[in-house]
Amino acid sequence: MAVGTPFHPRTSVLNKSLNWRHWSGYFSAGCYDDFVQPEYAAIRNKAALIDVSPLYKYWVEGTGATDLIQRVFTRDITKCSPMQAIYTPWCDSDGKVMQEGTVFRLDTNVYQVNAAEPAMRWLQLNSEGLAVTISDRSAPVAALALQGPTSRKILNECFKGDASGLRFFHLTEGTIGGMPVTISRTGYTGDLGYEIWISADCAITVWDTLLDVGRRLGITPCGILAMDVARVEAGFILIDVDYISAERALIPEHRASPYELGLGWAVDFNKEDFVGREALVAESERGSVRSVVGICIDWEPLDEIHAGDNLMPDLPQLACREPVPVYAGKDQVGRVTTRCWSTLLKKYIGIATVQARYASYGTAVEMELTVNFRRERVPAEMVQLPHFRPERMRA
Amino acid sequence: MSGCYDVAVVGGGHNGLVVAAYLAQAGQSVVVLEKGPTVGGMASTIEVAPGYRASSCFQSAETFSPTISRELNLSGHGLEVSRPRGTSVVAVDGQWLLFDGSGHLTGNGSQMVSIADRAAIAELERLLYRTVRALAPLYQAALPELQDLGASDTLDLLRIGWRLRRLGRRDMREAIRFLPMSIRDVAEERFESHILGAAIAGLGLQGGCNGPYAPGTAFVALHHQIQNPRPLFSGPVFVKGGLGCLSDALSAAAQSAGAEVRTEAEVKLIEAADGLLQGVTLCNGEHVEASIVVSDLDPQRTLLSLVDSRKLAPEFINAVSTIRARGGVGVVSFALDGIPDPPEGSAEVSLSGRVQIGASVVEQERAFDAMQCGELAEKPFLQLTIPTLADPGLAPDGKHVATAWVLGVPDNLDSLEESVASGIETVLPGFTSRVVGCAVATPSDIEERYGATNGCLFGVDVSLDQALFLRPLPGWYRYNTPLRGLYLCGSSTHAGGGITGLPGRNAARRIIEDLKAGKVG
Repeated sequence: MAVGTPFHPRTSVLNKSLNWRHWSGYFSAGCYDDFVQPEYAAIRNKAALIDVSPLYKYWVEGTGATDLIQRVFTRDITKCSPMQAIYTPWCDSDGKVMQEGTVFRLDTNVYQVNAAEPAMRWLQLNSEGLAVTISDRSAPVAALALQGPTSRKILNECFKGDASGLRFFHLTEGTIGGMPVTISRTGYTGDLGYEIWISADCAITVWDTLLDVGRRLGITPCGILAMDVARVEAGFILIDVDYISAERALIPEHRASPYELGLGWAVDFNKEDFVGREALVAESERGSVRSVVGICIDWEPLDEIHAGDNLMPDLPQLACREPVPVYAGKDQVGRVTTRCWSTLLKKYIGIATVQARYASYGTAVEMELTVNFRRERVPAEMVQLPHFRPERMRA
Repeated sequence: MSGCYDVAVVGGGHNGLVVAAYLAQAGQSVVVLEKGPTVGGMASTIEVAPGYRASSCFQSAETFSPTISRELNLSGHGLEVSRPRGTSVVAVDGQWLLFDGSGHLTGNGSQMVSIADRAAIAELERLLYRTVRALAPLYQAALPELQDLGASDTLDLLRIGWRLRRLGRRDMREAIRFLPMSIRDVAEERFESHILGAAIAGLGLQGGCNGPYAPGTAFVALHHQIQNPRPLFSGPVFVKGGLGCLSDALSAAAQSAGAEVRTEAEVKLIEAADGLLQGVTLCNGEHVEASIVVSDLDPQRTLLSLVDSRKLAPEFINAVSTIRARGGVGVVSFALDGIPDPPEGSAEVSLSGRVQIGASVVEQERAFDAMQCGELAEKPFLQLTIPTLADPGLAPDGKHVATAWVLGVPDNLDSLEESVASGIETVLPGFTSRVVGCAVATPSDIEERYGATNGCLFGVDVSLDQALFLRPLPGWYRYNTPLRGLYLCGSSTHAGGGITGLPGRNAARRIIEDLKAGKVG
């Protein structure tokens, strides 16, 4: 049975649609209202307040902490100063991605690792012989994502500390409503935004303060369905949707390397021994067989196919996670793993995994679609991710 | 001070010395690094009391490979062994069941054991001997590489398959059925006599920590036969001067081939950089350079304590740390100012071999049950040897040493000697009053003294799921490790589990093959 997050006393009152999703054993609001659009619009035009407490959070501390982080993650943490963050995948020793997430360097030898799935066992396995303590603070630490163009102004009004100058992927500490918080300039929407990390017992005060101060600036409690659309636009992959974790893959072909996920930039061979290094060196020399890439479905043919049946194009208003085949000529060359209608871009977009030689931008392919209960193929084009990235995200 | 060698052997146990001898014979410059003051480890000779000596852990050389003895000319290096000394089992009611050194029933055996049971012993010996003959070649060399079967490997496997097939339908079925059985079930279905059943069961419990009811204990009995086939109850073979003299002979053989053997040289770290072995660092800070390192220690001690774990894949570390290596055996040696008179109706011969005290299968099982609960059984299950009856030189004139293997010893037990002495007293009245000194090794002592994880005498448990292609762990049965140039050669590896020397010999041959193929060195 799922349980409420530390914000449940507030979110349960607001969630009039009773649209609850299960996320890592917690009740998570899918959409507070009957429609996703207003919540999505808040992400892009005002500010959305999203309860992301179900994320797994681990603290890694001790003189061996940096060694452990260097060993587990593919990026070089020594390039990251205290109160800075990185986004990075981590791999098994075959160089296949187990998860990707953010790592906060809170102090020289104190790290916060944020993961979508449990990672304790893996961190512990890798800590053999290192002077390090790893603690699971998933439950005692609550988290909120404040995402959208007005998020900075909202923080400026209620955060005691310096948020206005906080740079992309940096951290700061201060208080909100008198409660100590850590703020990271990170998020999963591809917009200007922050994530706020709070001790669970202070969670309600912080929530109330943000909503109170933010009302004038359009703060809107937002469910995870709207966030899912935003992350597709932003080109952010999702574990067990756009790729299968090496931990969960039932057959070897189901696993994916960082290169295949478009995360080759996050693999740093300048550091010594990290898990999967040898396999990744080999793959970087050999080249990868698959690639994650953006896909954009052509509007005109889509419209025409539907018109042939006297129908209007049926567009996914929510991110659809049902994978569909991608074809080049007669052959299936991949799959679209997430797709949605972007109301912002007025485009039918998606995230696809295709054979490497079909991954270059502009390649014409076809995506399978069911129209009037009939399988059809609609022309589509490989495009660069992200689909949408406003300058304000980093500015 | 530092040295530079082709090969550094970590640990001067008997397998470490064997590997050193063979590699030195093959022209490699070899150094053996032993932390103790003498070589041998669990096969060394210790002083029980002034003037009284006994073997440290293992008592007998009955499983030691005759091939190695011959190839290394151990008799030329001072090794003298006794003939097999037979087995005795003491029944609850004080009756003794005796086998002589040829494994034949003797004494009043004919009155105690029915004709059917005598035939059943012969039948079981026949089955085991045929099975062992079929499987023995697997123990005489590194196993073939299954991942990448070459022509000769395929041929080897086919040969084994053919040998098994030649057992005939009935024997093959029986042999396959035998392996996963509990030794209690083997005893139950084949023998009428309870005391004989207990004797059979004792064969499956040699130093393990499973009771006779545990599945797979029949395999343990078979395993200890494969290494040196012999009659089931022929009993121990004592080394003159204690088992340490076997290690000394191996050490002498290694040195005469050119190897250097250093004692009080404890290794702290096995070093590798860029995927290549650099050598080892000793606890005193000294660096010994070598491109090949062979560890006689168990995989957990070697790979989790001596190697920087960052050099190894976490999945591999997990596999190593979950290998089963359990203690459960205590060794108590007594210095005696004489031995009590043997019981009425039996000659002194009853004491000269291995005396099993704990003569019902149920009692044996209870000893292991108690261990699981962290206790020593009220009637401990003992295997007693009195080596001075074969080798009087171990004690002053007219005096003796007796060593008891106590099976089913829990961790962290304070006093073992009293319970053991009183256990012996019940079958040898007057024993306790003869004791003038003793030396005790509990599982934690064994771990501390010899670096054996959990005090496990076999590096890792001997069991079907940790044998052959699964020993010490699946995928790593060919003595090598993920670190190129680092090899294992201890009892924990294939063909090991007891004093055999075979892992050392097989590992040496594997290393020589790799050297020839240019894979290491």
